[in-house]
Amino acid sequence: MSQFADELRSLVDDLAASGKPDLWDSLVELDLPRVGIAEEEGGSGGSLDDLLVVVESLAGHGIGVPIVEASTADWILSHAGNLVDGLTTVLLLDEKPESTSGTLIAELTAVPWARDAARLVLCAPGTAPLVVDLAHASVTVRPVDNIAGEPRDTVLLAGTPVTVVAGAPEHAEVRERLALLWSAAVLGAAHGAYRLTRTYVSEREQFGAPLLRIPAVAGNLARMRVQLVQADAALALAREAAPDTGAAEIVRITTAAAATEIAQIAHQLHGAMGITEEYPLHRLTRRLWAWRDAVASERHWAESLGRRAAEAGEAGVWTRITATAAAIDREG
Amino acid sequence: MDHTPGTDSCAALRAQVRELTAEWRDAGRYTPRSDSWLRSFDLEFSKELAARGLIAMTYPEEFGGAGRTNVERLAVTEELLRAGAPVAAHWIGDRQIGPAILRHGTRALQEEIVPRIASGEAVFCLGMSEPEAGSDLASVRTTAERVEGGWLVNGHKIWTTQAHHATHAYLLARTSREERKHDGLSEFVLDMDAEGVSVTPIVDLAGEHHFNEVRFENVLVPAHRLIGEAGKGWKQVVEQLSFERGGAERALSSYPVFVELIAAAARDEGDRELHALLGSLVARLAVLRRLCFEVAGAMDAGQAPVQQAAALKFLGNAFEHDVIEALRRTDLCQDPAFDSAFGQALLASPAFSLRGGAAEVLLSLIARQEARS
Ligand SMILES: Cc1cc2nc3c(=O)[nH]c(=O)nc-3n(C[C@H](O)[C@H](O)[C@H](O)COP(=O)(O)OP(=O)(O)OC[C@H]3O[C@@H](n4cnc5c(N)ncnc54)[C@H](O)[C@@H]3O)c2cc1C
Repeated sequence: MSQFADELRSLVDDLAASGKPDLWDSLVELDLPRVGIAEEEGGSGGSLDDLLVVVESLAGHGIGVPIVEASTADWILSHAGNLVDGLTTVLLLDEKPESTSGTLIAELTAVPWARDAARLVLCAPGTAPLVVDLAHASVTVRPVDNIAGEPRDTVLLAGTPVTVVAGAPEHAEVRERLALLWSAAVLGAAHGAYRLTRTYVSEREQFGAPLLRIPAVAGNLARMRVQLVQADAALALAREAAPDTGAAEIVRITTAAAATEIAQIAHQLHGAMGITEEYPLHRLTRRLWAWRDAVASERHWAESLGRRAAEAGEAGVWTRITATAAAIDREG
Repeated sequence: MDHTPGTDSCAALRAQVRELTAEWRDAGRYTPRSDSWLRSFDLEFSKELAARGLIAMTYPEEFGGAGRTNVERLAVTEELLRAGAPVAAHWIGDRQIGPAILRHGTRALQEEIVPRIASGEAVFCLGMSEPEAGSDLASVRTTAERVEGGWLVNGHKIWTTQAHHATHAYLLARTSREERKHDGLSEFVLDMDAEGVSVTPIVDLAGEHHFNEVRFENVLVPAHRLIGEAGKGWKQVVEQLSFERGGAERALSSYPVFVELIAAAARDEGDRELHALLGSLVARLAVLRRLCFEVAGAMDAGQAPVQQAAALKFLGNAFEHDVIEALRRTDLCQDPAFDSAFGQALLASPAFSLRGGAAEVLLSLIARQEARS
């Protein structure tokens, strides 16, 4: 991890600890959503790795802000030199939308943060990304919240004009970037839930001693650790992997499975305390439940990786899909 | 960007092992099987590997080693397990006894034993477990009493894999009674043909003979066969367990059936459930291989990654169980033959989460670390 990454981490930690209600504005002022976009293109410099650190750290505090969507949308726009002020969000579509002479008629569901955003970037296979001006008179936004209380609105486009982003990354590339960013978010929240839980079982006493002294409690905490070890390794693997090697699937599946087990154990070990609104655990677990299936579900990624594996056969699985850096077979 | 040392040499090593195992398989000299590192004993094969510098890879050259990294060794062990090759004859000695002697043994002991492990001549068994000491290893009762010229060993070991083929035994014994049972333990190297050593078979649920009971009656062990310091064996054995637990065999024992699962998913294109199951197992395998790689890297950096190795073994064993369970979603589980890949793997599976430390014990080891941190 670079020194820049360490600085970013402590910057985010300080901001989160300050408890500011307008945290997103502070993040934007500091240009953090534009980490990972080159300065020449209007970004803040740094790499995707650095952006992952920002996402992971924010998530670790149970903070829900549009960092994944805004950073991805801006990254797409930056390819066309189109970076503008204000919040831009992004939505992946499975199919190319039908457009007539530069306008769209569509009902889009689960559009993240649409009510707060000025623009929406639509990414579909086989076409360049399209930009929708959400303030246009033909656009209706119906607010819907996900289980984490984050906006996932329905957006109705009634002959809304769209503009094409030329020279932007393809749908598959955007999808992989989102997979990596959501994985980092899940990992951050999982670490956050672990930290809260460890503190709780070290301090809360039952039967005359801290809970942690009870072997079954300690064993459950160890299970959480084992999940973190696995998820950390998956993200490390995905950060180094070449595009379209299955690493996006691997990291999504692994972090989703970790999210599931960690949320479950965290609540179990917190007892009734964990289900109160006042106590911060739910901020993390509700996000774990929402984010583990963001963009596409764990099941969806698993099926796609399984199909890829079946097609590749044993040799392909061994030398390409599950290969570590040291295992990569140069002879192909 | 590639941060990995030795990527090219790893690729070359992999290619070499693939060629060798394919040649042996085609010649009918072995049949791939699950659990080959424990069950497939073939001294000749081990010696061929030794002749090619593919065992003792991390040992210094002066002791017959290849002076390579643990990451390079991982490339070789992975390919051997992938091929289900008969590697049981050298596995234990190569994996942990050589490194233990190199870390703690005297120069004389290193010169005597290490080159013989490297050449495949010395076959080791592990004398740790006892009827009264399995998970609680520190309660071993076998004693080694200091006598003129060495140590006199008396006691009883159990579950000793390959003791009936072994030329040497590693032995954990009590050399003094202390208040703390973790004190007063010592490690030794024994000759299996020494006077007073007897081996009796224990047949497993598959009807196979791999483990044994070993009894020691007034066995004289020369003084220089002590590994490290008398009474300080506990710290050494804990370190050694990270070599035992942190290897690829903790995730790849059932690899031959995983291969069948991939083939079954390819045959049945319409079974989305099976594809999803395969996908999640592939993801776990990728992460496990990554963890093996990280553990090997830590060893190259001179660490004994005790907790990481325990986590790897815990996760790897669970993966292996789930691979076998996944086969039950295919037609391969229909009344499987005793010696089919599925049958063999299933019958071997209860051992995965026991040998090298029970799953529950690994969790409590990790938990202790968490409580401390
Ligand atoms: C195929 C195979 C090969 C082996 N080869 C060797 C060998 O070569 N050399 C050798 O020395 N040993 C060998 N072993 C022995 C192996 O290391 C032991 O089986 C293992 O350490 C567990 O000890 P045990 O069987 O005595 O179980 P026990 O210690 O009797 O425990 C039984 C079960 O109780 C539970 N348990 C025990 N303690 C705790 C605890 N503190 N917390 C929670 N749960 C607990 C666990 O589930 C455990 O599995 C081998 C075993 C197998 C299966």
